[in-house]
Amino acid sequence: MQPLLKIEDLNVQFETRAGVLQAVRGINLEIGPGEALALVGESGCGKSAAAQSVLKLLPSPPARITRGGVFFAGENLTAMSEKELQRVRGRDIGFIFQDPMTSLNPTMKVGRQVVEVMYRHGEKDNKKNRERALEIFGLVGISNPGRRLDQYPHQLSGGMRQRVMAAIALACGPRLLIADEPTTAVDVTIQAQIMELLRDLQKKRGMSVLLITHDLSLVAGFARRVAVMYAGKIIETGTAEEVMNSPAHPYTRGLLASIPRLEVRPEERLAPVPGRPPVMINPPPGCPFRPRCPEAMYICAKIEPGETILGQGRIVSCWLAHPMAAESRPERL
Amino acid sequence: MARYVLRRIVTMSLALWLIITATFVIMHSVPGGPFSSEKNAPPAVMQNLNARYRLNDPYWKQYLDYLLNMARLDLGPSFKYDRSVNEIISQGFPVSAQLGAVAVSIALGAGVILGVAAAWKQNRWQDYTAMSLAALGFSVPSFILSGLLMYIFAYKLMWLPPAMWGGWQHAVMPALALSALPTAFIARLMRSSMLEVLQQDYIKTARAKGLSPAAILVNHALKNALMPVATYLGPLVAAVFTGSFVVETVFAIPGLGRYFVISVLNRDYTLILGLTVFYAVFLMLMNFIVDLVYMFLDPRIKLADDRGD
Amino acid sequence: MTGVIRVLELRPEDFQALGDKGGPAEGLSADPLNYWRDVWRRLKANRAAVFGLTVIAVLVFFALAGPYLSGHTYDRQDLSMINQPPGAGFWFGTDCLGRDLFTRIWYGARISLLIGFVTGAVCLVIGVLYGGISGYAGGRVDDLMMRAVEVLGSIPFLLYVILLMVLMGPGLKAVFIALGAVYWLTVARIVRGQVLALKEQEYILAARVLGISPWRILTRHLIPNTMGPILVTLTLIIPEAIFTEAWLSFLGLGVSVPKASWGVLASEGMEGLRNYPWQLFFPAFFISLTMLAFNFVGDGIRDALDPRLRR
Repeated sequence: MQPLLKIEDLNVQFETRAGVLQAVRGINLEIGPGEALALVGESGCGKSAAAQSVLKLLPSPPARITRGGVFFAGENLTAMSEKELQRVRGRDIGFIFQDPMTSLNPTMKVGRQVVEVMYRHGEKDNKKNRERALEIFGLVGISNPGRRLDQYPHQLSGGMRQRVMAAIALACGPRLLIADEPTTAVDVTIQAQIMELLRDLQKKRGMSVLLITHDLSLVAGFARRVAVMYAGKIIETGTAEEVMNSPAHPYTRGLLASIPRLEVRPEERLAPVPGRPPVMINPPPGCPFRPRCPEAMYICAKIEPGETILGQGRIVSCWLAHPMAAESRPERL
Repeated sequence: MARYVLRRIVTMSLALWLIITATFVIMHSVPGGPFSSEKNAPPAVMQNLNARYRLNDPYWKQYLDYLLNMARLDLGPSFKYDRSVNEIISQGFPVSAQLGAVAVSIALGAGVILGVAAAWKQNRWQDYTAMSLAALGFSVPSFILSGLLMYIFAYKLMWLPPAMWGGWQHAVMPALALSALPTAFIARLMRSSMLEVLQQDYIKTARAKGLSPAAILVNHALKNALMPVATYLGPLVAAVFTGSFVVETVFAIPGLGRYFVISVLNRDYTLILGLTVFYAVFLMLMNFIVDLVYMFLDPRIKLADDRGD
Repeated sequence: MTGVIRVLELRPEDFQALGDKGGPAEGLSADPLNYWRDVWRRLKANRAAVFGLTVIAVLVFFALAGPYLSGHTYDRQDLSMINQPPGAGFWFGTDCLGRDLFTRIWYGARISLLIGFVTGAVCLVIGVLYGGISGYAGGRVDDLMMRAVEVLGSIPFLLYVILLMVLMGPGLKAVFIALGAVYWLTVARIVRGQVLALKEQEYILAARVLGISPWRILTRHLIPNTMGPILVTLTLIIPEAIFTEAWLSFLGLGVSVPKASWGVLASEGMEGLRNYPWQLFFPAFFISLTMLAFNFVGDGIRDALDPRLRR
């Protein structure tokens, strides 16, 4: 089966005043038709940069794709001209951004913001487009869609706005939907609704979804496969069950421990990974997670670990997976 | 909204009263009365003049009379001209307004175009050219620009008449001189506002929709970037009007600005007082109207209190 | 990466736990001295700003020395030498009374620059005191003081400058007061806003708890922190004052003859424009050059203070 989206050794840099920031350092990902994949990591780990690089949406300068490429249905998006890319954006690949508050044009009625996409990608009859927009508004669960079409973003609630964003992304029936932290800016009850909506759309329409999130708890029951990203690299991949039930990387374990659980007393609920992600401008040698790693070893400060293949589609980048780690530290077994 | 309007009206009334009173006090505390230039006039004539203009009344009575007349929109007679201040305003204002309207249009058109071009082609030659022009507009005062234009187009090339008011030829140089500074200001404002807008999230959304750069510029960036420029419209009108003092003087245009300058040089009390109050009311009203228009332009402000269910 | 690992010889010690050794060294300290040094460094890197500073320095030098260089005085009239074009005897030519324009230009530079700097200083003192007190006092006092600023601010200011000029009669002192009376409003607003924002910050709270007097807090803590925006405002006020004075002088409301600011010179030059254009061109050039220089410096300082604003 040919993957719908294939990211190959993608490297993205930001040229800043302080130096070259290595946002994405050679990631590989594949998403098959109708598949949902979650890319998980803290803010600043490069997951958004990776996602936006798929459609070359990052402003350049300062951002630059230095190596690797993105293939969509066999076509190399990275090598495409801006004009050719414009045809893919919004039509074949839909994009939902993090903050629906700022991602919608505040001075344009939301209906027009949806109709605009359809107009751009072929359908010039705006009466038809409006009817379709009405349909899509219903599909994404916007109540009273006829009235909503003629409202401005500020008149809608946060959840409604994110649904409008979804409507924009879905307007042309894309084959791939990239959702970049779609629930971060809305409150918890709405979060569940939005995830429900995305799951629904993916199932019904057979659409592929790339979900970008910092919240591992959203992943369960949504994505079949998960990739965990740290400091511009994918440090662990596997199916959702594998990653959630037997995380191989200490960072993944930390992320899992920080998921709020209802059965735990409130004061124990959140145990976020202590420390902050590194800024990848001239990083020191060794594993970038080492300063925060509770299980760091001497080797970790010297050399960055390579990939260890644990099984079919199950990869981890950590020295702990090295056979010698098990020999030296038998207590871990 | 209603509270805001009310507050503005109270502030404006206070400012207006302050202006009238301050102007009145200033006018009556300057050494040398209005007829001091006619020093050789016989005492009897002076007496008559003072009586005619009620300069012998106590100050408080003159002040009250003035306030009362003001409330009736009667600005009284001019000292130097044999006309009422109202007449002078009704003659001079249309001239100034025409000139001002042309200048404001030039400033808006040229400023917006320059600013958008500069932002769209940031750090390229279009940007540098537009911003150099703006720097010049900021640096060359209008009276100097008037002089240079007059020297080149009227004296050397002889394309345009050097002075007076009449056909469109008379309006070209004064309108250009008057619009230079506001053009420069709008160009800079437009550039920075456009750059600000271009890095907003909704512009990225527009790109993710596959819109062409032209469509993004026209449909998404322009209206939002114009908002801050709209707030400058009030000061813009004020700048053009105060600029007209100089430009109308240089080009000998019979507008309000020229009358104002002459009235100040002549110590024409009632004319100064009348014109100051007129200008003040006009400019404050313009500012007020512009603010209201802005509130209607921006849907976020306009509908702030009728958020959907 | 895998290739690298293969050639490396890994020893069991490498896989010993690292423990607390070599943890991240976290330390963030903002040194105010370093901040200003950074500002100065960024300013020096800005070519337009350096050009502006150089021009201002040269103008100040000639304003001081220029009147003595040509051997003529600013008010000596020589009716046999009227309206001379620029040349060896009179570098910038002469005016309609035979006075040397070179000397008059630099004498005018003294007056114009003085007006700019004195107005700036007057605004600074009044504005900082008024805004500082208003912001620091807060509550009803602040409300009242700011309402007064709002009312004054809604008066079209040039009218009010002209009225003050009429009241005090033409002259240097009148120009200072008239301009200072207008521009302090901006400074007061800025200072008040900054003071309000800073007042709530922790180190001020700490100073208060320690029992340091309000005056000392105002002068030692708040005002140094509002330096940046004030500096930017000053670079706007100074050229604006020179500009406005030139404008007033041009209308006959500024400095009185035979003293000559650039505005007076431009006004005189206007009269002979048709036949003796240099009489306008020289003052025009120097006014515009000064404006340009201050604009460049102002933009440069703004960018240097906040590099994020730079585009």
